[in-house]
Amino acid sequence: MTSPVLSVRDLTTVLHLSGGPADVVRGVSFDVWAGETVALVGESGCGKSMTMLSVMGLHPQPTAEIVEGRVVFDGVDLLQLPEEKRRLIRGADLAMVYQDPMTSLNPLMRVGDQIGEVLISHGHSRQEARERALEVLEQVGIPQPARAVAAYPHEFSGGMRQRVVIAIALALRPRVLIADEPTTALDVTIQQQIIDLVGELQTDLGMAVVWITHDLGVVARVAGRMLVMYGGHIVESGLTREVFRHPEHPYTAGLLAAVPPVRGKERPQLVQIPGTPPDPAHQPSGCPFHPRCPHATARCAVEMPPGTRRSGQGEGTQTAACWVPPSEWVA
Amino acid sequence: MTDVVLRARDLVKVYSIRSTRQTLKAVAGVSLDLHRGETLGIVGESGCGKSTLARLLVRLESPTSGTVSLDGEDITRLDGSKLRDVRRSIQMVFQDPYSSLNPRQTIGRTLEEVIEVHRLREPRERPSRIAELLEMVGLRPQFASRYPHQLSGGQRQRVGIARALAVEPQVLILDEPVSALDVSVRSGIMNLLGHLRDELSVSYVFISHDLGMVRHISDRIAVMYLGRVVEAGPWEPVSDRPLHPYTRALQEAVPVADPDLEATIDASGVAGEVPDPADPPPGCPFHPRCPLAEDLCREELPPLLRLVDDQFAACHVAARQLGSMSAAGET
Repeated sequence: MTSPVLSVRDLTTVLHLSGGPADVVRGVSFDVWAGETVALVGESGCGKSMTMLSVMGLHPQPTAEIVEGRVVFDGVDLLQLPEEKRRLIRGADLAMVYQDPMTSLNPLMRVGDQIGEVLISHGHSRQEARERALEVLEQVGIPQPARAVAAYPHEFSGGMRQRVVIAIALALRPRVLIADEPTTALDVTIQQQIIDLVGELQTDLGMAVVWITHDLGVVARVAGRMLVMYGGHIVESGLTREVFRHPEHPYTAGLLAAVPPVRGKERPQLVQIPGTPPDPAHQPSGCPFHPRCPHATARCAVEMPPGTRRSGQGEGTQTAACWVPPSEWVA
Repeated sequence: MTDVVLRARDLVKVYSIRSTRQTLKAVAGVSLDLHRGETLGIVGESGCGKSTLARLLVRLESPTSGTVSLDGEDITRLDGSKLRDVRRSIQMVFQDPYSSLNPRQTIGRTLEEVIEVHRLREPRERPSRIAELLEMVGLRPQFASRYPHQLSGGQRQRVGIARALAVEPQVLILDEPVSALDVSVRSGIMNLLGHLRDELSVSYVFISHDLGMVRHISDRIAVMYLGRVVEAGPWEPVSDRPLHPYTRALQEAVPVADPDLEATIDASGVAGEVPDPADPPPGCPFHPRCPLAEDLCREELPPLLRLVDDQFAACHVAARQLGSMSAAGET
């Protein structure tokens, strides 16, 4: 039995805001296995980005503080490491790509130098850095890489910029790539190119990908496994096809029913989830979904269900944090 | 008497770019008819000209050439009070209601202002009209005393719709009305739009980059690429059995929230990016990315032709193939 490459346990991150603390990540646990793609799905404010920023140690300090948990990579708890050692793991083993490539690129620095900087800071020579920069730009499908190394970020289109960001992330051949909505700002035909690219690189490099997204279509296209986040908790997890086939959490069920079908003559009325996702500074008591949940009971308002209820259906890969099993859901 | 409420003929909008002394044809000859009570969906990626087209239709901008007519009356060159009357009939809903609402004004005042400007109600009748408008979009009358920042994104979009409806328009131009919203909130707005259309018999032009949303609400769909309509027709064949290779690429690129269906889709994708509108390719604008392109496509712009029933496409290859099919059918 192999062990996961990344193992997160009870991760809890608090944002210290002027109006008081906000619970953004509330005891999150999950594993990532070598070579797999797992999607972290949720709507704005659910804590998905902050979870992965905390894993990377890139959460905005001191505003954001990890108050509890373990982030075990290769048997080592990253949260116990001094920042200097953590920095070396970051980039080399764990890399992150963001939604807006412009925010992670330095507009005043040539693309080749930005890739080189990552390599040099991890102990590579200038010569090696130059060669590797060319190599990764070619690998991510940038035309004329020899010219691209000397170009500035604004000289590229949005799609090409995202390729550059991926090139930087891949420079050190990480074992886990965290992709935070990497295609949300792109047109669908360009999104497809980036999805294909990440898939190819993943096969070549054997890296695991954690794909953060709000788009259930992207989940179905890229991820073998999925984690659904709501109100700072992972409320459901399992194999993507199992979760889509029979969601075990009312929030997942609601999300799936809110998406219009994309083929066929039927255009059903879309299912609405009443209300809006909670503000992290004012999380409801008990289960965070209970104020919007059609199946909520009195218990749901006071006690958070553990995320361990197993599904009796399908392949039994699913877990859900819900007191009410689907068999007891109101019609 | 015709049932066409809004008609555009050969609309062209050219911008000149001062810094490079180039001209950019954002809309390059678009003709369309919007029938009473109908929803016409316009789908396309960034730079296709769909938002410029929207601004031409509501007369926020004037076309370089071509005409827009409302109820058979040419409104292309109207100004002053005549233009204000037109604005009463054609209203626009924007993607980000936050930027189109005055942050210092209550929701009630925002709605009252519209009623005032168009002298629609006696002052004493206005409060009840405001309550009625809020109720129409699913908001309690108490929302009249709130400010935009106190509302969620979905609530703000409801206010945006209420404001557009305040003048009892015949036509709503909806420019990416749900693109900024979370999935669970989006379905509520989509249902509301469908319901209001049936209730008020208003006509919609629904503009989006999201083929899933467009196919869900539209009676007919027009697909735009680089300033032109490349395919148009009833929603179901255009979205499910497209004739134009670009529509097909768009359809395949949209990830489907259904892992079983996803497994059957060959998302081979389309190479390259949308060309610079200031420097469009000769011939068919899609030919540099088209898997079917032949010499003719590189030289000659294909006309938008009726190829199957009511389905139109601007493609040399499709025209030849389907032309030969019907010729064979005649013998």
